[in-house]
Amino acid sequence: MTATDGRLPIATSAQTMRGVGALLLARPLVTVATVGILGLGVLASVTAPWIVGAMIDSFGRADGGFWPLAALLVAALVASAVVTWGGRVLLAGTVQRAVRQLRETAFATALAQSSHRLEAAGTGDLVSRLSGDIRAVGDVVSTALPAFITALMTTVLSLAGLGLLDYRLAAAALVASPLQYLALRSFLRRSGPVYRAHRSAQAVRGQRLIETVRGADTVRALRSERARLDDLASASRTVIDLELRATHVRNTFYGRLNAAELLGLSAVLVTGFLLVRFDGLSLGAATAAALYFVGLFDPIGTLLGTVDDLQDAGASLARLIGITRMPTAAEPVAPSARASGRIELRGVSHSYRPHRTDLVDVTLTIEPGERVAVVGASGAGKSTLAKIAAGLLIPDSGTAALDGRALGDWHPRHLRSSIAMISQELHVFSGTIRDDLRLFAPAATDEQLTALIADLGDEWTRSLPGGLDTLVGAGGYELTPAQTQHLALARLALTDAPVVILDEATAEAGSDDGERLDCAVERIVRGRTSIVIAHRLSHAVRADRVLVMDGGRIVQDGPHAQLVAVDGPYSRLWKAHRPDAG
Amino acid sequence: MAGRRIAVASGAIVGIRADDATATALCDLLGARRAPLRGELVLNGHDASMLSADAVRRMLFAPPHEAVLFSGSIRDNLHVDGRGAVEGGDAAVMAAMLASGLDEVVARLPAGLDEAVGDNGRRLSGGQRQRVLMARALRTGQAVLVLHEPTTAIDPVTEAHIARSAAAYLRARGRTAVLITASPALLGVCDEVVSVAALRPEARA
Repeated sequence: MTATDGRLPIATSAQTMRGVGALLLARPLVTVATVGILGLGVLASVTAPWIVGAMIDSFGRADGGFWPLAALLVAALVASAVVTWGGRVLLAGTVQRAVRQLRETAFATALAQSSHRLEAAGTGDLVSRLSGDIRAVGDVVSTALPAFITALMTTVLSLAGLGLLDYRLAAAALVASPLQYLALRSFLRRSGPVYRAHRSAQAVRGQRLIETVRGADTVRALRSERARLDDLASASRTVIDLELRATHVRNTFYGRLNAAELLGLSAVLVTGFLLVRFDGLSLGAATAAALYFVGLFDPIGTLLGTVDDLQDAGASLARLIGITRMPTAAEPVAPSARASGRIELRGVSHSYRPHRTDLVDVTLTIEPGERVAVVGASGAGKSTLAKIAAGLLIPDSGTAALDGRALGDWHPRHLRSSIAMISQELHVFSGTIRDDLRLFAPAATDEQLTALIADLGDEWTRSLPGGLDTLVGAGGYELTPAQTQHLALARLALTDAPVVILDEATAEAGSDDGERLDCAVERIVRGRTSIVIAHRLSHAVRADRVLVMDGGRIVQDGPHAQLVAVDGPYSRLWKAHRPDAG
Repeated sequence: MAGRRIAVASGAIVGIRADDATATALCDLLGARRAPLRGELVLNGHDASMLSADAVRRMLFAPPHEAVLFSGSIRDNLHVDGRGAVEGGDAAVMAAMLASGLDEVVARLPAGLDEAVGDNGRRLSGGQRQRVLMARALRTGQAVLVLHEPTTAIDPVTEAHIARSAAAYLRARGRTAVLITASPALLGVCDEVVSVAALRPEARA
């Protein structure tokens, strides 16, 4: 388990076993009872061949005893069915509880991680673990695992029954084992790569399908419908080919298993015949042995057939348990007082990649309540500066502090409630607009929310089909980019953070919407320390202070009126912004 | 826009300033994302209501403002693979990159043109994404290019540079362009600017 390269940790086999053990033993009595009841059910079913053998032997005797044995057989089979059913219900409850526990722990641990930690790891990995891996584990524990457990118990008890009849019969049955082992080994070696290729081919097909549907207007404008369909067809063909290959691999495997069973059954029958003929074994015992062996076909097929499912689930478990082992911050001991909002950066440098510097030796103090605008070309380091000041990114060197205390020394929860940031990538939570806003102010009434939105300079929610009840987010009403930004600003207005950082929070707007968003920004920055990154210079004009960035450095620092008066990068920007102003 | 007539001459670059709703409606009309009414859109003397959507798109390239990038490399996205494809090798790609300011973006990416853009281009910043979209638009083969606010995430200096170089690119190829935008830099390079709200042409070059 390594976290040094930024990837999310994967638990070792030992850690995974310990993790699974801890989950199953959370309620030890239930787990032990489950295993015991399943065992009883299986035991009842494996007495059947022995009873049949005894029934055959009873024909030769004068005292009969056939009908009592027949009644016993029926009773054993009914008891087995009922008890096994009860055991499976218990098992389903136990494992589903464990899976739920695992999912909740993994989710809570992931939420407690800092966003720079998760971004460094790639959110795709986290999402695939919390969705795909959880689903894989859930599917396997509800289908393959019960089948595997009962098959394992049946196999062990049947072999024991065979051995109790005559050890030589058990030895004959084992003739099949080497062949079964070889069949399994070759299957696992061939199936793994095919299954993996199949899964990734499905992912590619899904990605292409989603992109084409989502970008339908773009595809039509580019007139690339045919090319996209051909792409999809070729991705689908790849999936089909791999499915055929997987089926072929499985068929070969089951063919070999059947051959091994043929050989094993022949060995048991021949041995039984010889023992009856020359060693006085009863005909009933020989019949029971053959029945035991035939009875092993299904459970052994199940055992071998579920091995790859269980292996898969094991890999998923290692990835999930890896997440749960990530360190999280302890609960804060005491609520902290509201920060005053003084931001200091001292000698901060950062580079995302080697041989490239995104931020070079930036030193900067922003006083409580001060309003700072950051301008500069794309790639000048504005967003990097914002992320470091927000504590979302830890710089390679130098320190960032809030109220004289390094950001790393703040409890993450206090830091988040002190510095609020809107980044370029905005998210609309699925649900109603009201739900979306209430995430940040659970107690707010409709009137307060409506008043807040109106106060932010736009009453667009009134024009929505359902007002505050309008469903937005995935599958809901599609907000315009400007509305999405306005919603994000409204959420920010609901927080009490003394420091707000806006990274291109008004970028997506045309001129009309731009004014409305600007008005919302005005309302939000009032009384707070603010860092506003915007390529529209209207924000710079209204700021107390403008920072001009270029190549990762702050090249100019001062109020708008002062900077526009001297010849420099800012006055050139100003002229480009207002061609008529120069 | 009832009663309003905007004529765009072949080879001209025309700017249209409109409020958001009108701009989107106009862009959707030109991109054949909604059916034109009789007399609403006339292309080369043909009423568009008599033409198929595909016939309109064969003449006009008018992607939505939220046009998407497909996962793959920047190079993949510049390979315009529809029937209106522009043939041409690296030189043609380079010309479109220079005209859209994408060359500066690519120069700073470790894998250059082969850098993966990620799901819906999310690995690029907004400004980088818009430059890829602009380069792709320049690479298309349709006679008329319609762009709706193509530079909202780009800083003013870079935007002014792109406006000049893209206009030069289009003029050199005799292509017609309609820029629906409020950006002074883009409107500044147009032959003519029409303000739909004011309902009168503002300037004629």
